[in-house]
Amino acid sequence: MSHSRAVSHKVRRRNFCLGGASALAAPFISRRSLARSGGELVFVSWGGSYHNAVRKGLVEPFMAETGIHVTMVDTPDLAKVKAQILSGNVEWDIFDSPGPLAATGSREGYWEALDTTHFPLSELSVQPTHDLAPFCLTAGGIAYDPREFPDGRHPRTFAEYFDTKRFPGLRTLRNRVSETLEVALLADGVAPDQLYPLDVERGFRMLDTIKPSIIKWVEATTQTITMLEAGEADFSYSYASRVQAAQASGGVSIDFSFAQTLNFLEYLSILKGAPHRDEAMQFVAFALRADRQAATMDMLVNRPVNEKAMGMLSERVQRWMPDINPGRNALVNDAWWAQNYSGLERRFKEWTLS
Amino acid sequence: MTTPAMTRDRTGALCTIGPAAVFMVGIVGIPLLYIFYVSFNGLHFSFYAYVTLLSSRLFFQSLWSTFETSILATVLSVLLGYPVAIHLARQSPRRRALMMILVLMPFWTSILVKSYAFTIILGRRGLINSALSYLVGHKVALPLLFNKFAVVIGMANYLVPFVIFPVLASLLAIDPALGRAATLMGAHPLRVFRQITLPLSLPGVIAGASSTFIISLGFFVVPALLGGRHDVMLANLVDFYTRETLDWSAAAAIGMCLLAIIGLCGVMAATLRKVRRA
Amino acid sequence: MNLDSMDRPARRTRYFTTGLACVVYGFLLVPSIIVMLISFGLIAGPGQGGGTNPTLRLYAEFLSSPAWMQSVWHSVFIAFSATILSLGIGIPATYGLERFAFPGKNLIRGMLMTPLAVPTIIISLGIYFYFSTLGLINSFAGLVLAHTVYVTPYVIMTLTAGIRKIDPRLEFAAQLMGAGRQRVFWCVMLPQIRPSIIASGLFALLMSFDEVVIAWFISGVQTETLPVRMYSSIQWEISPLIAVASTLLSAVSFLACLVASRVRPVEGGDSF
Repeated sequence: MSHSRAVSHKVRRRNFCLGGASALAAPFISRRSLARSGGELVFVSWGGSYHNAVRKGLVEPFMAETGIHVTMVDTPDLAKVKAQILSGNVEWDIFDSPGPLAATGSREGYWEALDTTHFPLSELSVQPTHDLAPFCLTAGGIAYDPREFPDGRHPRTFAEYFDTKRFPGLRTLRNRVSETLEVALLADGVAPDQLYPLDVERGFRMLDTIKPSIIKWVEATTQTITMLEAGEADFSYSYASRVQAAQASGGVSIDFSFAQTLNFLEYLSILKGAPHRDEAMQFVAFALRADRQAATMDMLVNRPVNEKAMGMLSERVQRWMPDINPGRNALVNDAWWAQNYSGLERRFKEWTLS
Repeated sequence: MTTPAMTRDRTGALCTIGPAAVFMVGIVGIPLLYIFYVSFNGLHFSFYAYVTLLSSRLFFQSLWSTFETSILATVLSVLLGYPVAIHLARQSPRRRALMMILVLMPFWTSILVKSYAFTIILGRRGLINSALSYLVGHKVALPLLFNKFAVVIGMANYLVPFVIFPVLASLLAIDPALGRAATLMGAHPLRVFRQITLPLSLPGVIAGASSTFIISLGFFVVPALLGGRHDVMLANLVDFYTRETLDWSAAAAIGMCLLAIIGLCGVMAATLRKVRRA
Repeated sequence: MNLDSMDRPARRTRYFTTGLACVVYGFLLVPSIIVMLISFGLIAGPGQGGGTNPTLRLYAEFLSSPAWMQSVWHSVFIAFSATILSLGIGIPATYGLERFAFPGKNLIRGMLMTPLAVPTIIISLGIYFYFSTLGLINSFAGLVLAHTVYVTPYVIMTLTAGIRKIDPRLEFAAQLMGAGRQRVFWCVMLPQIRPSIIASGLFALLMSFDEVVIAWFISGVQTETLPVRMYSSIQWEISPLIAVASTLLSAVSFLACLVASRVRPVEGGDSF
């Protein structure tokens, strides 16, 4: 561990020289870090209902058990991570982010190596990498309005989602290459366990066929639901947990097809040079514990990575858990995307414009 | 413009403009220099960010789309804002203060909830399509959403106040005696408008239009939520490079290109003015 | 002038512009009204489903949340400070630009306008770095300074339009009568551009209150502004509390303007 400390120190120093005004700033910085060292663990996560679930399921029990105070900050922004690390002014400790962000941060070397000695490794369905701890699993798939398409007359698999003759109607896809390319390849019949490395050409050819039926390439996740709700789209590529939340709110007629899903992970990571590194490790280990996973995921309705937690979920939530056994469903490979994302995303954006 | 009151008083200029200049250099200038430096990849000097940008179709396409959208949104905002400014200028101060609140309303409403409101208005089953269906007698579903139309409407809803304020300021500064005199002399109100009101309010229009245009250049939430696949703005690209791929050189280079283009527009406008005056 | 004393074409054009203005008022207001209806539970909000029972539940939730209320006060403080500062530097600067001749004036004018010309996300990145070396991140001073430079170009632009429309001979005359530069500025210039000052101040206030990108970068947990809080609560889901925040803001600004228009003595047609 002392090694990574030294590295982060070097990163910090070098970038101060880059900053140029280091001499001027030195007194401020040292005073600030002094003030910070006695402070609270900072956990960066999402807002809204996610915030509430994580606070009740994870943060409050952690504070009660360890006496360490945790401050929650909403919205993990990788640009802020980069800025904090470059300026040597790291204020955040734990970063809760979906695969693409976590993997990009990993590629850039923004995370501390994890100390897995206290992790319940044998209970986890996905093993942590050296700097990323999988936290939960989300399922992407086909959402539809059961009032408009009763008795299974909606597309159930991605192949059917791309079959505009049998299932005419307007659809949505995400406005980003990750997920979208996987969905296209699964639709074209690629076996889920042989998805990676992605056959990019084949994926784009498949996307060409559905382009005219896509009413909206969705930028904001909430729009995957509201598009259906407002009747703008007939079918929408959305997420099981979001569909569940909309259904639970009472007024939205919406359902989700579990016949085929694209699963992806949400990760916890610790910022390089985090002011409370050790407490952060403790927090991540705590977050992976079966009881905490069950309590949190019962509210988030995402699949816990701790398999023991699966049995502890309420029956209501069990129905919304995607299957992770290799069959029809695929798991997004974040390490592959970390290497290929920026080039392909540019190509994808050019493709949508043409 | 050398007016009688325009003097060559260097100390006066320094005292008045100095504080603002210090603020700008101190708080914007230094960060911008830093961004300029980042666009050349910092200490490892290279042109790669500029080379990749200038050789990418995506950059030019979004540049074009950005300009197209911004110009349309500016024109619409001026067309919508001007009559409101005229209407406000005619009110008594007290009523004007009240009506001003109406104008400011869009400002207070978060753009994200508002774009949901626009879905309710413009959607396939939205207010406008329902009203039209009722009038025509059969079902109408005009595609009003997820295209440039929706983007421009959504942007104008936010931008109109930026036109109203400066135009109103210059309208209020017009001596009402001018219009009264012209009317007494028998001028048709349209002629009063064309020959007095419009030319005298032009500085306000220009101020409003240019700020509207430049703000439009930086829009990305509205195009992302209300636009179709062709409505990619440069700011989306900046955001993409800043937050997703963390390629800040590319983001900074886009910013520098935008700055250069705007600077060029400014210089061109200034020369044009000079040539016309000569 | 009242309507009766006008001839027909004048009345007709007046009705025409009034009609046109009303259409625009409608255009500006309808989306906000829909948001208000959402906040009272009269229309289903995004992802909220059918709920069409009028309720004040969301208001109770908003007003009893210390985090939301705190961010409101932060925003109020920052917006007022930034407005006062930007008027303090913007009024003299505009005056200087319009009334003094000096070399490199266009360059300086351009320089004062730079925050307008650069996408805010780029400025924010630069400011983040700069402020973090100065220890100004997560401080009110930093936010006020950044917002001051952000709104100053709008202040200068609005004031310029106002100053260009007043007759410079008035100042010249005052000077001939022996008034000093300062006296001319305070007693001749300022009263004439009062509407522009109020307009630009109001504008600056709103711009700062509404600004999210810069604040997102340089505010922290202790200095979170309302737009930042709104922004982060919509990243995961569109919280219906946003509709409440928007409605409350409209109501408060409505009351503020109402009070302002009652308190100020009503005079000629030059005031707001």
